[in-house]
Amino acid sequence: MTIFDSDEEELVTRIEDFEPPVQIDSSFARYIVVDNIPVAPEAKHDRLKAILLKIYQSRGGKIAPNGITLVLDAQKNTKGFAFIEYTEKDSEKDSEKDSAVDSAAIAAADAVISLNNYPLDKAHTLKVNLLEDFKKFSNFNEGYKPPAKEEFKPKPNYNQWLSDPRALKGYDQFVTRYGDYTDICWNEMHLGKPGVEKSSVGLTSSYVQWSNTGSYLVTFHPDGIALYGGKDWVQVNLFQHRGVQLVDFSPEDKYLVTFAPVATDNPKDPKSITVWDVRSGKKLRSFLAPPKESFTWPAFQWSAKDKYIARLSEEKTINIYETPSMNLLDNQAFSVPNLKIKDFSWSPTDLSLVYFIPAADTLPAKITLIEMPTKKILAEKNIWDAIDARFHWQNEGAFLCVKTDKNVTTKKKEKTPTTQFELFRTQEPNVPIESFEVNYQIKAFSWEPRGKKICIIHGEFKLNMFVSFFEIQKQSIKLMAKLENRKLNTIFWSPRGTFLLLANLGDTGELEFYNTQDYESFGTQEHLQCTGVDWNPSGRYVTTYVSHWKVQTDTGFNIWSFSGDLVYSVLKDRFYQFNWRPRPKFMLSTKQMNSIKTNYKKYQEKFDKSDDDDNKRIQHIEQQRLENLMKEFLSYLQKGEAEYQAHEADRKKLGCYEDIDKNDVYEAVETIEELIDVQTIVLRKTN
Amino acid sequence: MRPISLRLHERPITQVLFNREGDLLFVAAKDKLVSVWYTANGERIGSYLCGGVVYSIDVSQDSKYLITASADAKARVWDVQTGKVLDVVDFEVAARSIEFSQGDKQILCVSDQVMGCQGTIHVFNFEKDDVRKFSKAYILPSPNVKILQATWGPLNKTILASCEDGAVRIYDTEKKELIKTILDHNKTVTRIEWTKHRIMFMTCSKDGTAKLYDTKTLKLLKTFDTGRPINAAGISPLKPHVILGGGQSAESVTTSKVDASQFKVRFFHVVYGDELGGLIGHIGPVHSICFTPDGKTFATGGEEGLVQINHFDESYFEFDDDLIYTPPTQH
Repeated sequence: MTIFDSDEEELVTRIEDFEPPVQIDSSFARYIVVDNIPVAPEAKHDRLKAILLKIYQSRGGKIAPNGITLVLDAQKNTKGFAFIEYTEKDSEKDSEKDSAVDSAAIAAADAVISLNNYPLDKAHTLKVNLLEDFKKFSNFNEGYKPPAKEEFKPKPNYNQWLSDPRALKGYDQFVTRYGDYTDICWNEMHLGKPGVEKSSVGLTSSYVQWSNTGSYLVTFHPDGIALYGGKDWVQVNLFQHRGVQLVDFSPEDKYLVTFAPVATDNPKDPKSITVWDVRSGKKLRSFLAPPKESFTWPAFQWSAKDKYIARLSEEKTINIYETPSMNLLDNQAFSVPNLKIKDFSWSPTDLSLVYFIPAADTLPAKITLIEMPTKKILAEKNIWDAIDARFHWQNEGAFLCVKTDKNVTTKKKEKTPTTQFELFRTQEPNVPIESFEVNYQIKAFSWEPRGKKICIIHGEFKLNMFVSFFEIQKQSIKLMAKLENRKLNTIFWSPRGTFLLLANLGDTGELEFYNTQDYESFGTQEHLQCTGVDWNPSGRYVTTYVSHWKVQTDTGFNIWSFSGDLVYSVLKDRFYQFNWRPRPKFMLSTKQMNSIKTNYKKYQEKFDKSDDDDNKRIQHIEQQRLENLMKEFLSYLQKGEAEYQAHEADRKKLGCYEDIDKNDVYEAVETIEELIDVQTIVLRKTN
Repeated sequence: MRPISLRLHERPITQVLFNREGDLLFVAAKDKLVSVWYTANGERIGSYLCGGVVYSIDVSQDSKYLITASADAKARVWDVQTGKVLDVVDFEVAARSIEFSQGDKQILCVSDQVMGCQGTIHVFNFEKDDVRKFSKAYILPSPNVKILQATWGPLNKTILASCEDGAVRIYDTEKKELIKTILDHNKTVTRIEWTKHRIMFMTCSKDGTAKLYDTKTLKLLKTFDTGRPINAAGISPLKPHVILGGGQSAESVTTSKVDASQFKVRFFHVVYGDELGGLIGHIGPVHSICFTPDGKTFATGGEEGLVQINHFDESYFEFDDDLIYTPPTQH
């Protein structure tokens, strides 16, 4: 016995070495239960099985041979439910067993999600459950437990900064980025330098961006973007989107769109473009990005009031999605039968959009303005030979100017090439349309914000451009002024209209400040190599900056008054970015604004006094500050000097000379001979 | 204020230096020449020809000896009056910086970090009255980065080195070891400039800032941000003013248009940090600035080889209060 005993021990261990013990698969993960199947007599069982087989293999899972078990009663009729067993697919049979088991279980789980509530016919809707769920449901706690009350956490007031005393006085905030720093500053003009509100290091990994109403500051991180806001600059929300590069807010900041370049995106689960709800932080929907060649940003265009989001599809139709459901409007893309839409644009204030269909063989090009969601055509214009169009909305949506490009046919030598514009008066009844022409190619076009003026830079040569000003009058479009021989390429209107800054960006940086009230120039200035311009939301100041992204020398920014006086200039090493914080939309109507303008004198006194008081107070504080600084400095200086004097003996040992005024006094003896006077004394000889 | 322009050097100026009395101005340049001038009228007295680009000079307090560090890997000691070389020391690589200790009994000299050699501070004894020759005293441990300048601390107890990695390293001359590293700049520290009596010092850096420290506590008192690389600073011994000079080096300026305001020397209030004004004159980066010990004159030297002596007008002395070194004793 003893010998056997020992042998048996060895044998057992050896068997275990080369064959794992058989494990009984006690899991029912591969099984599903289908309820609500029709009650059928035995003769129809095979047909029912065939139908179920077809339905439950339609999602790609494979049902095991004889895997469908119909449960029968005593009369061999079905009881109204069935068990179905999934199995691994043929292709996977040879591979790892573990993964095969998974694939069957996944097919079962997939059936529960996607084939539940399958409408077999009017009376029978098939319900699917996992067999394993029996365990879960039999142990279900039937006692009701009220959910724990979540404590209400008030969100910070994102517009708090507007009630800051400095904001109430009309100062604005801006953000600058240089080196690793991101500074949020107040533009207190009487200080002559930015007043730093918050300075942080490494806040973002690429750049920062304000939202459209100025409520949030967006920072970029490898894993997504973060929004900051409120009084203490707390992080408001995080949006996880790996590799995010671009952000676009809806006009009223309710939603935002993020973009991350993804090399091969999965059409079933796109990761390129995502639309989010800003307040809740929830993902609304993801989209594929168009191919690189046709990619533009913003990828989607927002309608007014954040109502719709739209983009041109590759089939040249417009896909309009409703917020917040993100479903296609009327469940189909907006299209014009047999015609291809080349471009479209939403009105900035009304729920209407304009689209352009280029000219085809025998058909003229079409510019159409339609109302959404009714799709009623408000205006339409046919133009022969136009192949491209550019839409320019006035920011209150009152006017729309469309620049059309024609196929240039050089049959005969033309006098001067011209560019044609169509003007839609969108807020007048029946939408009258007019045309006007401008010589040469158009370099820049810009509407006066909330106004009726247009500024256009046009010309043939970079160094010799024209700047034309048009005004929309009751019946006509009138050329008001024309500047000649200008080296300018970009137009920046003050957000309050009337004044504008014309600049030669990305080049030598000529600036011209212009007043359209009297159509005269305030004067020209220069900011060498200027790469960007940003107007203060109040229209009183404008910033020109040189960004390290484009130019490596003398980066920094200048702040000018609207009339072109330099207020101050800041130079920073590795300066990247300058952005004024946008203010929310005007709450006042144009009428109310005008009444304030006429009663300006009444308010002026009050504000002047408050400014005076503030200035006095600030000057006093500043005086105090400087005095303290001087005191501190002198204390260090005098302490150091006292110590220096105390070490006189040590210095003597070293052989040091003392200050010039002490030891270098020497006496120089110089003999000076000078003829003081010559006196002639005539001695009379007395005889 | 009309500057006196000294036009002799054909290559960039590396250092301008007044002697202790402030009546002589020594100028070192890359054209291998050191020249000496009368401060009062800008009249040239003479010049000393070295074998290579002269990086750094110093003059003894009695104005008898001139020492030079040059790119021909030599440090020389000259007799100021006769222009004769009294002694030469050879290094393996270029000598970058040289300075007399207080009392002129020792000389420090910095050798460059090139060709496998480590940037090193060498200290020599110098018997000025009889031997008038260098003799090796000791070598400080190398930080293994390029040292642009080294200078003696108060009473020769320390040596401060400005380094290419943005650090200022402080060595103890007794223990002969590194005792402190100040890392406040993120680009090369180009120069360390002392105030009168070495009470404070200012570091200039390519990162566009200059920083003022208290020597005793090493506390950072003030930062001046100019946005342009700073090569040199001059601290007035008389007024609370500091002059900063610099500008983009020639190879990184890509503009076709020469903007003279880019290279102006700028006056700052040393306490308030305000920019008080600027002086246009140089058409290249300014490499060196020096005040006379009485604070009434300063000299600047630039990349284009121009040296300017500026004697302040009377109005300047009325402009701000003088610095009070010793508070009036109270009765």
